[in-house]
Amino acid sequence: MSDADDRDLVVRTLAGDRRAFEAIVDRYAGTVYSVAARAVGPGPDAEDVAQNVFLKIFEHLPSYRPSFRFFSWMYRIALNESLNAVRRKRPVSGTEPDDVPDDAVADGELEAADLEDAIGEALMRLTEEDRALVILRHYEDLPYRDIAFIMETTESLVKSRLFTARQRLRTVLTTRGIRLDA
Amino acid sequence: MNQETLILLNEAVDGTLDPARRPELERVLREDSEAAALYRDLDRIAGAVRAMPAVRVPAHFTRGVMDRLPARPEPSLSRRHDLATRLRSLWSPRLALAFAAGCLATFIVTGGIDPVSTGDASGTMAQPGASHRALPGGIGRVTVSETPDARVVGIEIARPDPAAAAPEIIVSVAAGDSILYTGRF
Repeated sequence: MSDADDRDLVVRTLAGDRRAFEAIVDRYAGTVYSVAARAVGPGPDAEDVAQNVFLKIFEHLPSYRPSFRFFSWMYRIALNESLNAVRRKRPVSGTEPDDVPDDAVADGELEAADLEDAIGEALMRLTEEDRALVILRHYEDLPYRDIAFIMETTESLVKSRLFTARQRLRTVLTTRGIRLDA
Repeated sequence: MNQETLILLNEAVDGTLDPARRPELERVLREDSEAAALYRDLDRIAGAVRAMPAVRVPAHFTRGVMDRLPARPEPSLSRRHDLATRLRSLWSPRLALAFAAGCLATFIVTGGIDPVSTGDASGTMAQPGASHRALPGGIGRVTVSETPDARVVGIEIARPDPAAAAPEIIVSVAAGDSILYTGRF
């Protein structure tokens, strides 16, 4: 799936072809739903957030500029909507993931026995923004430039926060006794 | 472990390490067991994230979106005929600079503009004695300040989302027929 294909679908949608937008939804449902599910947890809430993301994409499609990859533009909307949903859900005095001491992790938050199973749970110990950084870099395989656009920050900040987020993940996993050298 | 080694390891994990520095990485991994352990762990973590299974999308998700879709991809009715919104949607740094250059050239050729208002000190660009003119559609305004040696033209252009960002400000300083400075803030 190339960006040119995406742009073609955008142009056709703007010309009134609803099937073109349906193709966009089909193509990126997994990505958008994943972003929402990793933020608010899988289930009806995530589905609602993901549907709202696509409605927002549709509404704002006339303002999309092809100088940016459609994927990045779409991802930015998905991330913002998901983060807003998390903020709405979180109590005012709620604990930020980064505030959780490592011994709380050792008390048994992570149930998985090996790294592949544990990584998803460990990611939930990061802030939403740091989790998004790690996923954008290593799961979506995006370059710093695109991540900076999505996160509305600078490439150097992406790089340094990514370093910190990975080290934090390592601490979470090793504290829980997950063997990284297996 | 020093900061330089830390950066080296993370760049390697990120796949952004300059190939010319590969021998340096190999040397560090060979000679520093702590660095080698960290690199191995971070690399395993990156690999595990890469291997995470895709989240399963609920059945009929696409149908659910399409059923809620409005007829056309347009902003809401209240904004549809709003000229300022449409003009703001065209905003780009390059366009803004080109616009600023055009305005400045016009001011130089015509020798200035009729003051629309003076002494307004409420705006970001306002200077005592400066003259201001609003741009059509409420997209911003032009401020001209004259000194004995130069003419300073400031152009404020509202961002697409005024709540999220301060206006774009372009300042040009001209003396005679020469532009001494053009900058964007």
